[in-house]
Amino acid sequence: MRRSSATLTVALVTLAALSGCGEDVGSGDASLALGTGSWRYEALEDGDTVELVRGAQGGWHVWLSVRTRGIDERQVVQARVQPADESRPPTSDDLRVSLDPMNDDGTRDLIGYPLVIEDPSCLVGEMIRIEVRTEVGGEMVRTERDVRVDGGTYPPDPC
Amino acid sequence: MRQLPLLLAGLTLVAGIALQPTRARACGGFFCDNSQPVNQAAERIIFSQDADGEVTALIQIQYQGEAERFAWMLPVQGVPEVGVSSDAAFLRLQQATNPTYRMNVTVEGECAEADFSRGPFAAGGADAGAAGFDASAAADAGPVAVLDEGSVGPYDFVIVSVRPDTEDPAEEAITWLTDNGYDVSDFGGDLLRPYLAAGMNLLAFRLTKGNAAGSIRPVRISFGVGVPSIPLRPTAVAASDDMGVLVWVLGDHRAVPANYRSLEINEAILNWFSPGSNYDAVVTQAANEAGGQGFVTEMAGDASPLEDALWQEFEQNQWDGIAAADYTGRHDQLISDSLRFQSFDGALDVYRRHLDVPEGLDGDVFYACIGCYLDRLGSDIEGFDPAAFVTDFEEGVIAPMADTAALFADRYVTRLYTTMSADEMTMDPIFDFNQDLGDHDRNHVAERIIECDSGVSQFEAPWRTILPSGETVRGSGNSWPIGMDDMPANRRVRRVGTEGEGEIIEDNVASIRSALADNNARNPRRTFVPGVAGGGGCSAAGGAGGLATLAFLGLGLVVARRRKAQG
Repeated sequence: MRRSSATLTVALVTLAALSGCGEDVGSGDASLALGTGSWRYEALEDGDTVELVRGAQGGWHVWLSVRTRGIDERQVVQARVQPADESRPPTSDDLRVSLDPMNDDGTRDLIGYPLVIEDPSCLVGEMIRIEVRTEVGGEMVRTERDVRVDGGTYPPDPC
Repeated sequence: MRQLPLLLAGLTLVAGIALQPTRARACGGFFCDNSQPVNQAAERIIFSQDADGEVTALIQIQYQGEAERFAWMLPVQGVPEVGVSSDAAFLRLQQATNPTYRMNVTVEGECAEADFSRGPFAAGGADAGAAGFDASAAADAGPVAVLDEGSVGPYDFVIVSVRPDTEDPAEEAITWLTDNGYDVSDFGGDLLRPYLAAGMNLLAFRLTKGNAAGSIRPVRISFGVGVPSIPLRPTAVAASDDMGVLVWVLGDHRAVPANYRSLEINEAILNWFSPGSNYDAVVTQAANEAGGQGFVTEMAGDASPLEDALWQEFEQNQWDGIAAADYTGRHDQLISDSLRFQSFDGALDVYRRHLDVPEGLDGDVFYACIGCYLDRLGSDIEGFDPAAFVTDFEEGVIAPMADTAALFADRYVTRLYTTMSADEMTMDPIFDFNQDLGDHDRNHVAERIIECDSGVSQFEAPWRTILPSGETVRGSGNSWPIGMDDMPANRRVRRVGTEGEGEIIEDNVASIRSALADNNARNPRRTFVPGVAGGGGCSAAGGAGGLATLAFLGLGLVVARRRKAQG
């Protein structure tokens, strides 16, 4: 199951890159692929939908998962989120999360990071930009996706 | 050295503090039964998601230090409802849900009589039988706005928000709280910034003036709809190594650690002769081997029976009787009747508020044994208002117990446990619910069969133990043959979502079985050959030493009696 999932993901990421969606910057063999999912990696493409989850002491977050290659265990990965129209500056969070065991294709996943969304009311139905980045060997490895926000099971009050 | 409260769930923050807040608790408080492995110092939290999705958290606060220095903070969204709960409820809940590990023992064959001078008994080898910134509120104020404040139980509390455009919201919050009597000056701003940056507010507690540190009790916070989450990251600053985190989650279905790994421990490395001796170490090793972020599910099932375990019907009846009675001219009787609840949180505070210390007595002595001095109080205590006393007792002592118990009615409960060190607290665990997973029994029973013959005593004889997982462990005597380093601490590690059984990301069953096969080969069944020289003619590759002579065959009767007793 993991192999097929990984294969699908690689294919989707490749397709996304070919179609010009999002932006992926790698360094050598190191790479990051942006996804969502609380318990397993689900690749995200530009235009996909991410669901708000109300969990952080009454706050809202979206699940962030990252498929990594060539990234050391416990590497600090910075996640940034902001409206896709850049009407607000990004908020950032440093992720120091252990990676799951290696997938068949040599990637390792960071699963289920609750990326807290500030003032989510006005973002429901809107596009946000999620970016993850880290430095490998002095070079920046990063990727970003523009995704639409769904209110989820417990949506915030309307903006 | 200063110590601030270590809050698991939440947050506490503390800087430069050696913090091992260990509230002294006698063993009589928590179970010390060796079959019930319990981490006495674990942080405890109860989450309840009701049928409407409303989440309430009951958080036990551990603190040791001066009352004046007590402060406790939690980042929250919006303005949650705040109340208190009861340590007594946590105690009862823990006792009612502790996992147990025990072995049923049977004896095959007839063993030789034990040579007690050599050892197993002498060595003590016992057999195991058993919302963002409110701009309107701050329009005429500084960068910090008070959204709510008040007193609850022994605490004053305040909920503040900080203007997001403030240069350093975290430092502003800390400064404001400190200036307003919430002594959080030692708290570092770094761990608060992510929460404040996300538009969250800060809920802070302090002890109301006059209350002692002994008045500290669990807090109850209602967050509104959502899923349970522990803001663990800020706790890192205050965490001791391998700090226990014990969580009960109430909901419609079995709870799963949505973004943490689900750990199935390898019960073969548990010391079944003394489970309490290494259970915590097994969980710690399991969590460490799974990247430091995983929970063991210790039990899952119907929560309704726990409602009565926490607050029994007869207790409610007793209280109802007290509340309905007329104690005019019988003040001492009211005090006496209420003493049956004196061990509950808040009771002492109520007595202190309503009873003056009799003349000539020391206050500590009096309040430590009020029942000893009823005759000094008399039947008509000056200034004592029975109705006010009953109301205060009801609100501060009885209701927190009853309300906590009521959370368990018609719900499903999952108890999860892990241990974590500071460097592993990098992601807040969030719990969700999975209706496809079944119950998880907290009681674990292994079957140990002692393989007796007339050449060896029961206490040195080889045995085989069939674990709940079905695997067999062979050994001899009263020591568990498997060490912590002999095989993986996890049988399986899963990622589990809201549906299905999840995905196994690490499966150690094969390696465990292989290691067990090696162990069992080292501990074979004895081949007993009567009459052969060498102390009875036994042979055993595992070398069960100390062979007894045939003269001890008479022990058979004794063994038979023991077996009956164990049955």
